[in-house]
Amino acid sequence: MVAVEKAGLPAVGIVARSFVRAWQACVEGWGQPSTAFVTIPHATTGQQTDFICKMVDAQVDAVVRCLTTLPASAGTSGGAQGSSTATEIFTVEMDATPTGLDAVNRFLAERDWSDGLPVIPPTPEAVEQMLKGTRRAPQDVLMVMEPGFGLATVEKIAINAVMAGCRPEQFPILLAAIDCLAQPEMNHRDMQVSGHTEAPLILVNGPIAKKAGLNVGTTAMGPGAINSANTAIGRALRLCLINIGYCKAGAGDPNFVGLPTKFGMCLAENEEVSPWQPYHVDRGFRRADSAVSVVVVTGPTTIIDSGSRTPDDTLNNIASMMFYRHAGAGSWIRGWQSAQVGHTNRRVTFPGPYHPVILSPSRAVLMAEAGMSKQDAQAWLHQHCRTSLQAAVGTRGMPTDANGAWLTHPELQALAQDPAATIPALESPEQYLLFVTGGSTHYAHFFYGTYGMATRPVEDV
Amino acid sequence: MQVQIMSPAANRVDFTVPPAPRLSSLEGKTIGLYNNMTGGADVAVDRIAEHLSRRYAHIKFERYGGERRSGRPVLSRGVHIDDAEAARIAGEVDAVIGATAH
Repeated sequence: MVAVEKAGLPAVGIVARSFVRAWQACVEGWGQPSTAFVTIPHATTGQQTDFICKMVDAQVDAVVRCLTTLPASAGTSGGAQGSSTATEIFTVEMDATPTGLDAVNRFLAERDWSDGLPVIPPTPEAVEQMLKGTRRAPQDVLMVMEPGFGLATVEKIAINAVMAGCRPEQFPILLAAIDCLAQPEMNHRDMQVSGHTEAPLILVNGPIAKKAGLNVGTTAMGPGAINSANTAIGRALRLCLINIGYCKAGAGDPNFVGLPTKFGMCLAENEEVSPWQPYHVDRGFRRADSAVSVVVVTGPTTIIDSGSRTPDDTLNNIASMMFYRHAGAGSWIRGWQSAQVGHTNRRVTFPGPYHPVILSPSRAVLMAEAGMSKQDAQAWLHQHCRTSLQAAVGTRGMPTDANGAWLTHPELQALAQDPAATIPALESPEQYLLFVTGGSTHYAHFFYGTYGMATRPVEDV
Repeated sequence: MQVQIMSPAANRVDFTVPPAPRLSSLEGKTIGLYNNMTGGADVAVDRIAEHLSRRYAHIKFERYGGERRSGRPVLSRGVHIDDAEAARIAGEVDAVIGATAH
């Protein structure tokens, strides 16, 4: 709506009460914090028409007012900071009392610079030490992070890495994860500001995993001292999203209830035990390279696979997760998603979603022993996870030209009236992202992917 | 004990958009109704249009968002309005009412 105002037209948005702070965060990021809006009690999604009309009826006068009267706050600054690159340094009094020990945490929380957990104080000395984990210059900008359009410099990332408890040898993984988010096909904006629950999952491959101390065995996603590297790297990315992207809980981040995995998720593949080639090799890297992939997901859901004895049993169990029809099933028939690049008019299309399946080595071995490669398993899932064409079209219908011809996948239109016609749930086999890690037993995790995915190399320091 | 800490908050791209001038009245104007194709957003803006039609005898509407249909203004760049799209819309309507299901 800010773009509309920028074009010289008065604009007003209809905003649900629980999204007011999200609206304000977004329009501030776009440069006009006073963009007009009216408020309704609930989001319109999933509501009956009559109920929506009742909510809107009460706002007609306000809509007219917004289009005919400038808001009182019009013209106020959005808080955008200037081009100065100097990082502010604050002095905080601490002592050994319970209150004194918590002084830095309170200082940060009062400014909304925290994920809510205690942090390591980002002292200049600690940040300098973190910067020794990279050859990149402190003022190099890796990306402009939305929704706040914050400049993700190496130094700011290092500050947040210190707060999360990262060590310098883990820092290149975090930088590579942010390199991934910088790729337009990640659509990190929608990841940040969406009302449904999703979070970035960091997947690490190559020698850097061992060097960084990542756990690839039992409880690799869980709490505990053996997972300190996994936890710290995942957490550091979240702190960057909060403090650099200005994705503040309840504002830039309007998730309806949040998600525990948003505190951070970082996994490395158990390449020594997996019978398959590592994931980064699937993505074009050499086995000896180190690479990081980031994929945006909800979930996870645990698949308990104790009854399986064959690859088909296991894959059927995984396929059952696709019964949830809003997991992107069949949405590819409307064409690829697209993401706007920053403040520009450029849009990038990208395939998706990618559904990570975190396989215990035991499950991968079951398939490999039967002669099945990872690509075979992906092809199996692609072939067997299907949705009806009519369900994919749904009540929303298909984009059509003036003659009613489908604009995307016209080759399928002839089947539209056939209730028995099915299509693959995902467009391509590789969208089932099989990643082998954790303890070797009868489990898997299934994540519903939402937006894009990217893989970037890790700097060898 | 004093501890020095560095600010974790990033500098932001300095980007300011002034508000557009407001209309003196909606009478005789063409209003854009924008929905981003999320649930119920089209219902919300259409309901507002119903009310405005009763208040203003010569008001007109153009719809943006929703599926591409013949004879209707559409968004050529997905469900979001970027600067290029906004410039085109500015040549077609006098104001915009938007809903995004949220």
